[in-house]
Amino acid sequence: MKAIEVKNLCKDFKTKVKYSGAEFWKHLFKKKEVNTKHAVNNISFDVEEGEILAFIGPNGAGKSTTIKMLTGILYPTSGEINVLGFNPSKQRVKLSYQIGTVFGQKEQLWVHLSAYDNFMFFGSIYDIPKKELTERINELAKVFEITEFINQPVKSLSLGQRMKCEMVASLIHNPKMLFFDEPTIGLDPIAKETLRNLIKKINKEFGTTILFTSHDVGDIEELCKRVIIINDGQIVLDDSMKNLKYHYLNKKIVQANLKTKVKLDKKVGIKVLKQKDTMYKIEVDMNITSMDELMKLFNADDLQDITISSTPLEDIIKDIYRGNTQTHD
Amino acid sequence: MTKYLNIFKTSIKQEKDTVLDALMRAVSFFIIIFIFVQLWSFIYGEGGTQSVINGYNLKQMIWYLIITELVFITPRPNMILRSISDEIKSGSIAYKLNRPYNFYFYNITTFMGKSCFLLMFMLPCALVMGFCFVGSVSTFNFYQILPNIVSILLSILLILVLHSILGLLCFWIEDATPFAWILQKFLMLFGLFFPLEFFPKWLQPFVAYSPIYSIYSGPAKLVANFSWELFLQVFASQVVWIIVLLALGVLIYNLGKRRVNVNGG
Amino acid sequence: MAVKNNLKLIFSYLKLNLKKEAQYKTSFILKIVMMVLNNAFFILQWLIIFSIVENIGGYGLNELLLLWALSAGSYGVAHLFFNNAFSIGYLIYEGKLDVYLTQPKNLLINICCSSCSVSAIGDIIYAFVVLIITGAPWWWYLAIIPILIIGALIYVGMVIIFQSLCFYIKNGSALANMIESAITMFGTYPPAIFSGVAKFLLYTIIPVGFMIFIPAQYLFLGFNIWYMLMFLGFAILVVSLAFVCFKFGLKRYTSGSLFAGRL
Repeated sequence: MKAIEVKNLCKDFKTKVKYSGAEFWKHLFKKKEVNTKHAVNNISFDVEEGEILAFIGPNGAGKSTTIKMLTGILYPTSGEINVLGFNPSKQRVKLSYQIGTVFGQKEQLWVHLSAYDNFMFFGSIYDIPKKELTERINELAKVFEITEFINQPVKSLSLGQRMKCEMVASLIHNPKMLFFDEPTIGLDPIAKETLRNLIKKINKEFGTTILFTSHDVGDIEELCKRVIIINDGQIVLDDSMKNLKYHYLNKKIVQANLKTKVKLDKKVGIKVLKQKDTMYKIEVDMNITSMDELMKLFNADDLQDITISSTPLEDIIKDIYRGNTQTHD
Repeated sequence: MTKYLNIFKTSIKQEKDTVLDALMRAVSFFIIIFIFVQLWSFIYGEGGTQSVINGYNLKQMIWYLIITELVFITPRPNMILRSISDEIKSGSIAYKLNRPYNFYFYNITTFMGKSCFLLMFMLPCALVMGFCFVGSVSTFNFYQILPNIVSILLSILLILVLHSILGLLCFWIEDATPFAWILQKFLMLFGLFFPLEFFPKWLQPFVAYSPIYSIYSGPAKLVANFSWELFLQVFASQVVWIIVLLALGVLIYNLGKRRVNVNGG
Repeated sequence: MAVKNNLKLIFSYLKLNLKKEAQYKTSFILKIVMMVLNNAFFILQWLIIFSIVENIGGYGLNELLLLWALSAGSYGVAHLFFNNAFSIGYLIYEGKLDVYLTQPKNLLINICCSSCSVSAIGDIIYAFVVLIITGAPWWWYLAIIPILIIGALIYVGMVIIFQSLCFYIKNGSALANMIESAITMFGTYPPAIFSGVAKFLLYTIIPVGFMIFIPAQYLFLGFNIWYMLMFLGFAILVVSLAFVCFKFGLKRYTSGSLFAGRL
């Protein structure tokens, strides 16, 4: 079953052009020009139930805007959205019982109160009977390992601990679907790791469908099977993580230090990126050629030192953002 | 001295951004004066401008209220209080102590600059309202404009100095706003709402010799019923109070400054 | 059912807010006491005025204090239960409605109730203090409760209508703040001094007339069923209009994306 179906979704933001100084007087009595920014420009995609899907893209690409339309926060300009069988802009309240949200930069918790008080309150917002609610809180507290600080005021907690509490708050009503907007932003590497594991755990234990946005490549590499890359309001890439790796992680970087300077023969798929004295930096396209072919170019005795590494995913995504997709074929 | 003149100029420039705020103040200024006009017209009754209450006819009463309200609404005394007390409480004053100006005078001149900017906007509003609602008072003469402005400026300065002293109390106490609150209530009742003559005889000397008179009743009375004799009297009391309170402020500031050094170790 | 559900929401917010504020006990109590004193202070102003004239359009000191009770009381109820309504404009402009939009409750009620002002308790207490000072008959103590609540609804409704302007214009809340302060200023002066355009405004966009003058004049000083219906009717009108305006504007909500996009 599909958890989300989106067809030809668009969102425009309109701003009036502002003039200053002499320009202002020239345009005072003319009709004001309106700048239209297509924040989301005709995107379509589906999400299967139980899937973890990542939305990535640079700042202002439209990922948050898309998530906000999916959760009913923003009205779409045009297009169709179906989330768990609901239309978010028309059936916002009904939908909200079924979904949970965490917006990394906007806290929903009341910082002066304890996490427990917060959870009890959110429970009452979702009309959960008291007995069921305390059981649910205890269960989640165990899974998230927040029992020791659950009664401390939220403001005294570390950012990582707060984020855990935010997640518990978003899970309190046992939603079928979770939306996380930049959940790991500002966290230290260890806290990030814990949070990622928890996201995986939520997905496994509760079977929750999860859609999240992130800047952090680590989040994507570890969590999802599928990625959607957005740039300028359009989907640049919608592919499985496996394919992404296959198509874009097909290049290896070889750094070799030789005993003497040699002239390397030209070969298809092998490119010398940099050469300084006896240091070589070489890119090898594994779809065309292989490491063996490269090795044939050197005299094995000449090799002093060699390291082989993959292009970091981050660079690949940067390439994709820039529309640099010729590596695809 | 030029140093403070420059601080004064800069803060006027910054204030240009807050035109909207000034507009809002002008509107509430108008509303309050409108209500006062309605209220006092009713109290003066059918007799209108003819009847006199405690030495004031309706025109004089309204001008009195316009000027006191102008002095009340222009200086935003809570801001100087907050600015001083926040810097003391947050400890950021420590960085200001070694600057080549006096922190205390810096605050007073800054807020005086802000007030003067707002006054350039509010004063015309006050005049327009006065002429529209009741017209000029019969005793009005053009030569009184300068002394009137001087006394209004001095009374604004006096309000700021009073509140800055309360702000400096934050060297010792946690929160000075309750004191400001009490001070403002006294200012309102004994100056803003009513001229001196409206109070019981036994109370009048107390009000007359307090800074409240120098702040509100004095300058307002000078507009409502000008005389050079009154001007000299008001001017003298304003100057004396400013000197006394500034001296007190400097004293408190220097006492408090030591506490910062102690805390800083 | 829906009514019960929303009442439950209102009170669970109140409980949570008071719990939050009560963590700082001294400041909690101080705020309340200061507000009572603040209101009581203005008795002095009127003592002096009533030493000059006996009454203003039939209002003597006691009647005037009743105005203060209604005005401070409904102001208090509004700020105790619906305090966040007064910052809706700011929330719209800054894109801070997101959390409320993802929760399964009536949006406007959810937003309005999520903060409360402690000093408002002082205002409500003052309303009852006035009843004691003026030696009001016992049933006034009961009758004033629904009147304060309905008055607060008129007040909050009007503020929301103007705050909703922020969906359309950047500085929309300036106008709303103006209406808000006008309401607090006009509400404590005897109705007889206003006439003409002022009177018209007081029964329309600055609805002090309906909020305070009508209940004071016709519900306490001389009961009249028609005025009671007018009072109620106006409240229903304003509140429904507030819901409509807000809902209409919400389609233009940008959730801060507009500004993020400019970065």
